[in-house]
This record gives sequence, C-alpha cells and structure tokens, in this order.
Amino acid sequence: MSRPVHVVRDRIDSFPTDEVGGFPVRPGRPFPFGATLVPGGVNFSLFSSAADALSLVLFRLGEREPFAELPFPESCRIGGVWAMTVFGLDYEHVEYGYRVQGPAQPRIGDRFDPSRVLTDPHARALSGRKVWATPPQPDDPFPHRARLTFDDFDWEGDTPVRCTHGDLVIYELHVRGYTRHPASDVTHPGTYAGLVEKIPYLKDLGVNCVELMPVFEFDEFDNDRVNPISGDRLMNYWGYSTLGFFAPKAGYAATGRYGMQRDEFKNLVKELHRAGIAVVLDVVFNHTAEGNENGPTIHFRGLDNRTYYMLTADGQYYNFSGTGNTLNCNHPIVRDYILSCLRYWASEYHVDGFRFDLAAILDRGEDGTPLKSPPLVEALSYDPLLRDCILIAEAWDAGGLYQVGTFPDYQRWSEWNGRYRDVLRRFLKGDPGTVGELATRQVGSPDLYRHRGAHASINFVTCHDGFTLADLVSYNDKHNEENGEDNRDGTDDNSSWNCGAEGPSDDPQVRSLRLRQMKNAMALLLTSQGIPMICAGDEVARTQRGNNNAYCHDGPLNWFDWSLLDENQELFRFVRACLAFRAEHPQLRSSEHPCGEDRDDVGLPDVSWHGAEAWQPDWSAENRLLAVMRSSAGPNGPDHIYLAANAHWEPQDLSLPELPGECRWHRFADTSAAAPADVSQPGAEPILADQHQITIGPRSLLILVGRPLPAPDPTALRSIR
Amino acid sequence: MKLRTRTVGTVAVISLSGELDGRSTLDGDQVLDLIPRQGRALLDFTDVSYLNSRSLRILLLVYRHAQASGSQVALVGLSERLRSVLLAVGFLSFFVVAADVATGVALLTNSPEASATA
Repeated sequence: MSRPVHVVRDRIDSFPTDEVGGFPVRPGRPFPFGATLVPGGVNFSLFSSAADALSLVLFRLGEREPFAELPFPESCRIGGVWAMTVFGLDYEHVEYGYRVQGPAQPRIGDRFDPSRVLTDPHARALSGRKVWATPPQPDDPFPHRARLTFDDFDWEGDTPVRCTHGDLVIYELHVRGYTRHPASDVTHPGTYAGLVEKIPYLKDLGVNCVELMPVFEFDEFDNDRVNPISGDRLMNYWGYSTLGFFAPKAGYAATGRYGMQRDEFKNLVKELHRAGIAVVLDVVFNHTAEGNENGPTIHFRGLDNRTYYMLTADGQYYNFSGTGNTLNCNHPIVRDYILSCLRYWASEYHVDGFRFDLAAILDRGEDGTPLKSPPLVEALSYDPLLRDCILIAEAWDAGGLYQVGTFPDYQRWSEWNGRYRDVLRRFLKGDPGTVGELATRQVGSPDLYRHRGAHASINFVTCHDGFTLADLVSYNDKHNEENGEDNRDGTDDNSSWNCGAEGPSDDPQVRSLRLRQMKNAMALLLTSQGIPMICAGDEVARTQRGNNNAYCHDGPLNWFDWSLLDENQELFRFVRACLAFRAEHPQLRSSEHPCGEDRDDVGLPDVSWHGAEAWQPDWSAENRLLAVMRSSAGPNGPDHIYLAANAHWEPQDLSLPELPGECRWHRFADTSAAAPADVSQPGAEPILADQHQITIGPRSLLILVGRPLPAPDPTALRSIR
Repeated sequence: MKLRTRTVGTVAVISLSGELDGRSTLDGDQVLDLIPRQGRALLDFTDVSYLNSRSLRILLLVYRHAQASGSQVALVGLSERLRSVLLAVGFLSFFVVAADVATGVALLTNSPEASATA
C-alpha cells in the first residue's frame, strides 16, 4: 500500500444503487451479521425469523434523538436476513440500532415492539457504559447503542499460547477488582491497561493462565438493591448478565471513553501472551440481561424472542439460569450465534479458551430436557477455529442439572470439579469419612474422568463464587447482610471452619492455624493431578469479610488490596514455592491417571497409599490422615514424591516408605514448621536426617521428594586424601 | 488539522495543530508527503491535545510507512492525555518519543539508526 487512507472503489459493488432516507444504499451482503466496514460504506446485516419490517436507526455520537431512520427495502431481504450497505456515514461518530416490526403475541412467544430501538446482538462495541459507574441518562430510551469499529490491530506476530492444557495453572480474576484498589499502584486502575502492569507479578507468582470474569459488555447498574448498612447503591459488579456478546466491556478500559476498548483489550492479550500467559474468558451463554417478562427489551426479545429463548407452551420464560430467562442454546440459530461469537473472540482477540458459566444449560433442548448429544456442545468441540482452545464447563445449572463427571465432553471439555472442591474443604476442616474420596481427587478423579484423563478436572478450592480462601478458614457462616437480602442469598453449604473464632481475630493461635490451613489447601491443590485454579488474591489471604456472594460490591470488599502482599508475604512465598514445585514435577501434570504399577521402571509403583505405617493406608471413616507416594521417571531421573496430609488435631508419627537405590527423602514442605522452614525452593530441599520416621504436626501437610544423593565432588575427595 | 514544517539541523520538524477529536481526522497522505525518504522527521503534537481513534490508527500507519521507506521518525509534545491513551492501548511502545523538539532532534541525530542512514 502506498498511502494509508485510500477509499478503494475498484469494485462494481462499491457504489450505491438506491437512496433511502437521504442516504445512498445498495442491497448488502448477508454475511457476516452485524455492521462491517466495506469500501465507502457500512454493511448492516441482521436476522429475524418472523420480523415484518426492519429499519436502521442512526444516531450521532451521544445525541439522544436519532438523525436518520432507514427502512430496509424489500430488495435488501434474503430469507430472514436483512442486509443493506449504507454509504457516506461518518462512522467514527455514528451509533446505531434497529427498529423491528412483527407480531406482538406473547402467548405464543412473539414480543416484537417497534416502539423500541434494539441493540445489534452482533455489535462489536457498545456505548452507554463507556466509563464505569458513570450514571446513565435518566429515561434514556436507547442506552446501549452499537458503535462501528475497525478490526485492525498490530499484533506484532502474536499467536495464542500453545501449551499443553495440563501445564496450565489458572488464575481467576476480575479485571476491575484486580487493580482498582489504591494500593495497586498502577497508572490506569481497574482497567485492562492496569492489568498489563501486573503481568510481572503473575510471572513471579508462577501462574500461566488468567481466567477473566465476564468481559463481554454488561450494565453495572443492572441492580436495584441498596446496601442496607452503608446506604450505597449496589451494582452488577461481577457482570454475569451480558448485553453485548461481541463487545468487550468498555468500562474496563482506560480508553473506553474514546471508544478504544477493543485495542486496549487486544493489547492486554498481546502482553499476556508475550509473558507466556494464556487468556481464558468466562462466558455467559445461559441467559442474557433481558431477564423475564418484566425485564427490559434490549435485543433478542424484540428481535426474535421465540428463537433465542426457551419458552413454555404459553410463551413464558424457562428459568434454568435462576436469572429470569434461559438462552435457547441448542436452537440452530442460537447455536450458530454462540459459535460465531466464540470464533470471533478466538480469532479477533486471540483468546486461548473459554469457561462456560452454568454450562449444563448448553445441554438442554428447547423444552429444557437434557440432551445426550447436544448439538451446540458437539459443534464447539469440533470447530476448526476453536481446536486449540481450552473449553471448560461449569457443569451444573440453577435448574438442578448437575453434570460433574458426565458433561458431554467429546474428549474436548474440562469441568470445574465441584466434587474436588467439596471434599477438599471437608477434609481440611476435619470431617470424618473424607480420606478415601480425597485420595481419588488427588490423582485426577479417575472415577469421574477415567476415559477423559486427568486434565478434564479443573481442581479448585475457591472461586469468585463463595468464600475466599482466607474466609474459608475464618468464618463458619456466610455474612451477606450488605447484599440487601437479609443474608438469604449465597449458599449455606460452604464446608468452612473458622478455626476457633468467627471473623477477624487477634488470637495468635487462631491466626496461626488459619495460615496453616491456607497453606494446607494450597499445597493439596497444587500437588493434585488435574488443572489447578487459584482465585486471585487467595495467595495473599484476601478477605471479603465473610461475604460469599459478593457479586454486587464495587469497593474494597471486592478489590484486591495489594498491601496484603507485604502483610502476608509468608503465604505468598509458600504458594509461589508450591507453583514452582508443580512445574518441576511433570507427573503432577500428567493427563494419565496412575494405575498402581511401576510403569516407568523406577522401582516403585506410580501411586501407592500409606498411613501412619508405610504401605498401610487407613480408609476408615474416623481416620483423618492420608499419605500418598507418587513415582515416575522425571526429566532428571527417578522422581518420587511423598505427601502426607493430617487433618487430625493431634500430631502423628509416620513411618516412611523406603526409597530404591541411592535415593533419599528430602523435605519440600512442612506446614507445621515456622517460616522459612515451612517450604523450600524446588531442588534445594534439605535431606531428612531420619529416613525412616517423621512426625507430622496437627492439621498439617508434609511433602517430601526422593532423589539420588548428589555425586561426590571429586575435588573434595582429592583434598580428603 | 494544520501542518507546519521547518528544518532543524538535518531533521524535518512537522508541527500539527487543530481539532482532531471532532470530525477532523489526521490526513496520513499529507503527513507522509512531508517526511523525507530515508531522512529524519519529528512529528510535533504540542498543539494537539487529543487524537480520535481513527487518527491514532493513521498515525501508526504513517509511522510504519516511514520506517519502511527508511525514514527515522520520532514524536514530541504528546499531551498527558494523548500519552495516556497511547500507553493504555499499547501504541506508545511502537514510537520513539521525546519530550520536546530539541530532545527529539538530538535523539534522531545521535541514534545509531540515524547515523547509519545519515
């Protein structure tokens, strides 16, 4: 290209053929849907199965009333697709929507409403919430307008992170909450750009994948409640209520006010990739922000209600999501919509994978019945553009469908392993009858994923939904009073234990036990087979003051307080060492479940179970001690790991299994020891003086590594002689 | 948008001024015409408080074209707002940036690349 700003008009279809509403137009191209910049104009394309008429409504940037409304001529319709190219638009300063006419017969599901201007469901950028928490215009009849966008970006050769899924360590975070706190010390707090500044921290910690809570455009004001204690308005802070499935959240961009959120998000992805960190998006396809019959008409409801939503025979909304409506995921049109959306994010934004919120809904047919072979899940599994993307299901929904271990996986999907979370929590608090199941979870849940491999299991102790790790060991009960629902919201099934005092405590014993319990949880998580997921901030004991459903708080309750990094350096150091340990031991990241045989010819079976006595596990209900030994051929020779977890309140003496050959036990971690002896750097673990016996402290974890003694230094030998 | 040019030493200093956050857009052709091939140029934004997103893209294109034709280009006089936007979207690292014209001229004149092309 010799010059940058040519308008190429060397195609015979780049000239108008008609005039509508004073604008030159021509019949458009039906694909792609949405608004696409074409030579000299903009191609608008939209589908509706039952619309009678459609018009394009054009606004000047920020103006309340439209400056033009262009009815689509009949010549611009092919089947159910309306497509028109409009020339001469000042696309930097235009916002648009659609007015759709059709039958209003709610009893059979049609809810067309030509009095409203609809948002383009394929909009690649939305205005209206350009700056986070800027109050919306009162009574704005059309608050979420689509913008026209450029798709160019200088990726500088970026490619998706191509690593084995099993090597991932996922770190779940909220874009705004991660750097919004004043202690974050970034140039652009609470934004994509702010997150870029924290990449060195992520590298230092040792995670290699961020899972971003929803970044599709949503309305943070989609919450009418008030904090009964502070009187503050509550927000839709988490964002699990999508407005624009193709549009990144503008309010998370420092440049959102200038319409550059797309570039800012792409730069975030590019910089994360440059650091070797993959990007997984938490996506919400189970419902939309339109709610039930009483909710706002934003796009799908007024465009094609019967197609996009699961409806009862009398036209009411099924509510398997618990939020008022349920997206009709397995309808062919909706399936294509979701597929094209994910393809778009994978190709245009280079994201590496997706975590599907309430994914069991993706398995339901149009009447809500679970399908054995859901077409959407199958299509996603085999899609060529998504081939390298990790697909993660939250394999349950609010309608009671629980599919952990049974989600239709097509050998492609991983699942948030809720059973891992539950048993690990119960074991840690000392519940009886948990040792057997913990053993199964520790080796990648072969009972659930025998044919899929351990990587199907996303292991976690905490996530955004529920207690933080610090709160898990500080509260017996949820404390959601500030959510404005009299503490009724949020789960009551937390399997938490406060270690002797509810909430903050100055008691040194309580504080010490809480720290140990957090170390125990992290050590178990990061030595389990499967893909571990850490909830951001748990590595520095972030608290939400006992709130286990903090979806609505935009404030310090949810923001990552970076001063905790200094305050809780001991925990951070421990977690970082555990992540380094995981990276050093490939057998912990293997997809293959162990079988109890010496497959690598290292002198010991790949897994063996132990109790207080070596080779004698105790599976009885009252036992609270689990010891496991893992053996395989590592990159530097035989690799033996012995892990003992004691959830009992008394210490126990353990006899250690004997190692073959010249291998000796070295101590990597002992959570009962005071720092810095609680953990070592991998490769620098001190050798145990007693190779046969060791005492494990109360409610503690012990991790040993068996490796050959270093070869004698010939120089030293000469000097002895 | 208005463009004014002068020469300082061996560097062409192109000063931009005018409203670039309304309907006006940076004219890439015009700017590119003023950058000497295989020479050195400073784009001075002292009188430009903001560029709209389209202008930023054009600026990046101009910069790439200039580089491709062997020219050395630096930006000076970026307002805090403009610098902040460029930083947030990752464009800032693409450019050689100097605080003022004198520094920019010195930077271009003394850079190894500049010496190589001089």
